[in-house]
Amino acid sequence: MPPTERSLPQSETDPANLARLAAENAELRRNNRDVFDYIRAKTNQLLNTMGTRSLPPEELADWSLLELDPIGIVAQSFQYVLENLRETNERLQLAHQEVQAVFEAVGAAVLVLDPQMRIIAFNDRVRTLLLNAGGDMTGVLCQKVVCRSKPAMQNCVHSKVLASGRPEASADFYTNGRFFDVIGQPILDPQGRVTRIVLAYNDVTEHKRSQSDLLVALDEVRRAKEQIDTLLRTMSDGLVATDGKRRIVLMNQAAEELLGLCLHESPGLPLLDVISHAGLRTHLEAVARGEAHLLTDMEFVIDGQKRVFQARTTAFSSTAASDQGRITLLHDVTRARDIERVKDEILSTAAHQLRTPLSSVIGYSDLLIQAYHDIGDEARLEYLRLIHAKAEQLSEIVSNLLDISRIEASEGVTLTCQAHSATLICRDAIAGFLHSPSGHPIELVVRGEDVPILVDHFAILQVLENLLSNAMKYSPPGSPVVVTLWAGDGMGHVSVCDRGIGMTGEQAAQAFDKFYRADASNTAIAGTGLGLTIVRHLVEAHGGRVAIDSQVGEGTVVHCTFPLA
Amino acid sequence: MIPPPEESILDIRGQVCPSSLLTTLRALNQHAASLRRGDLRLRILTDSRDAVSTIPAAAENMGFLVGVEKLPAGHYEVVISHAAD
Repeated sequence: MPPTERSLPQSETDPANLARLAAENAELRRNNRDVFDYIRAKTNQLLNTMGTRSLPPEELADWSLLELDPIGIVAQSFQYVLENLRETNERLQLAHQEVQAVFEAVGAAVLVLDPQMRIIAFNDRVRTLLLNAGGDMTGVLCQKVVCRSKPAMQNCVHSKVLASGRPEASADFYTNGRFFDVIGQPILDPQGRVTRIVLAYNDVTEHKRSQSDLLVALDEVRRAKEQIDTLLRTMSDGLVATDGKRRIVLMNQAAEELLGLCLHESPGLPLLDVISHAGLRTHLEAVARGEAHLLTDMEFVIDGQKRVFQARTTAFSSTAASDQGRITLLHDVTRARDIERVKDEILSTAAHQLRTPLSSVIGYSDLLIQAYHDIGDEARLEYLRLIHAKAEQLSEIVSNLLDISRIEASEGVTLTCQAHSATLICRDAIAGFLHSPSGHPIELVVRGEDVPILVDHFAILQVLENLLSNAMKYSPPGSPVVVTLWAGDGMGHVSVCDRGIGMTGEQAAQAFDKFYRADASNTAIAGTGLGLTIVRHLVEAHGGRVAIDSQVGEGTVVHCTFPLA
Repeated sequence: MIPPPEESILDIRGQVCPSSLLTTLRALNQHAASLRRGDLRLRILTDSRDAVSTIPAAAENMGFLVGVEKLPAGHYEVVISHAAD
């Protein structure tokens, strides 16, 4: 507020008094100015202390200094500044404690470094993971305690962070027998300069080990899968697997070919929807009904040939019974069924074939026992010869049965082939028949030089003996049998020719069939109907051929070829 | 629902004496409690460029949140509210 004018009393206008008053006034004004200056100075001092610029004098007129009370205002504000500082300090303290707790609790080893790589701070994990050592490391160069090897130093995350000013990372840092992923984080000052670098070392040793174990396990699984795939691919049995809802989940190549399906087109389809084979459908439906007979024979036609398969369906284990998958195996039992059939045939034929000579043996021997003394010596000898002949016949039948059963059961013959002289072998075979009671003269004709052939000695002998035996059986006593030997077309040729009863073309065509006998009504001629079957098996096992040329009433020529040695 | 803070407008345009800063500080001292609680927001209208630097510095040191905006009319608006945290 500006000072107001007032009229002064007479006594006060005295010059001396005026001078004194003027001096006092000047003194008062000076004192006032000093006080105002003091207030301004103190106000500015307080403002500066609380971080604010000084006020220019024109902003605070003298009169307002007293009225406004700037010191009072600023002092009170300053109180709030102090209070704010105290609160901020408390928050900082709390934050510091939090950071410290995280620093110690974190699983990684944490190092705080200055730009010169000196350690400023570190947590306990640094000792256990990186160093295995105690003692204070503050101020120590990190290279002296952490990166002691050259390769480790070359991949220094500290240097990278210092160069870029940004977070950096490095994988697979190896030290102290462990692997680490290292993350470097810069702490910048207000000018953006790196003042601290925080390095966190995450121990990935176990992770790497697990990863490596997992890779090994995966590799094993892959190999096992490959083995199963190979097994499924190469197995001759057809295999179809279905899930709990009878949908196709797996099928091997054999099953695909057998059923005319393709797994890539059929997965997820209900098996019964895609199977057209009536026998297999019946089997699967029976299995679905829970019927006990899970093994079923059924026929498939493959490449125009009928083959017998046995279907076997089994459940494979699953946690939930309702969700049980099934595996159907289609096993080719054609051969087993053939063998069974052959065995049945052999058995019934054997019984039949053995019965006739056995009846003779029993009959004549019974006669000899019952009427030994009533029979003359000549007749007795005749009966004994007959018994002996029937016993020989029985022996031949048993021998043939054994041969054919061995040949049929093992599907082929095991031969030990060596070079032999065909002439010598033929002579050996003929020698066995020279003293036969039928009195057939046997002639050996060798066209050209001796023929060396690559054969199994015993097998070829059996072939020749069977042929000679047939020739003599089916030709009149005393008629000649001729064995001819020659080489031609890269093969050795042997033919056995008789002048016997001969066969019709139809009979000749069936002569090699098992148990076939051209004239079955003639029981006087003993035989199993297996001789020529065995001959064909043995000759073909050598890689040769056998053929019959026969005329009824004129005779028969059986012609065989063998490989040359 | 938290009600929006009340607003108090301190128009110190054209004012040189007494000081804009001191007038503002006096108002801040008076309303410190309401401002801190977040009940009040103080809007200061000033055309002094000096005040635009001195007022925010002082208010921030006292722990308040300060925003400054130049308005199209040519003056400034300094908004002071409770601290950010």
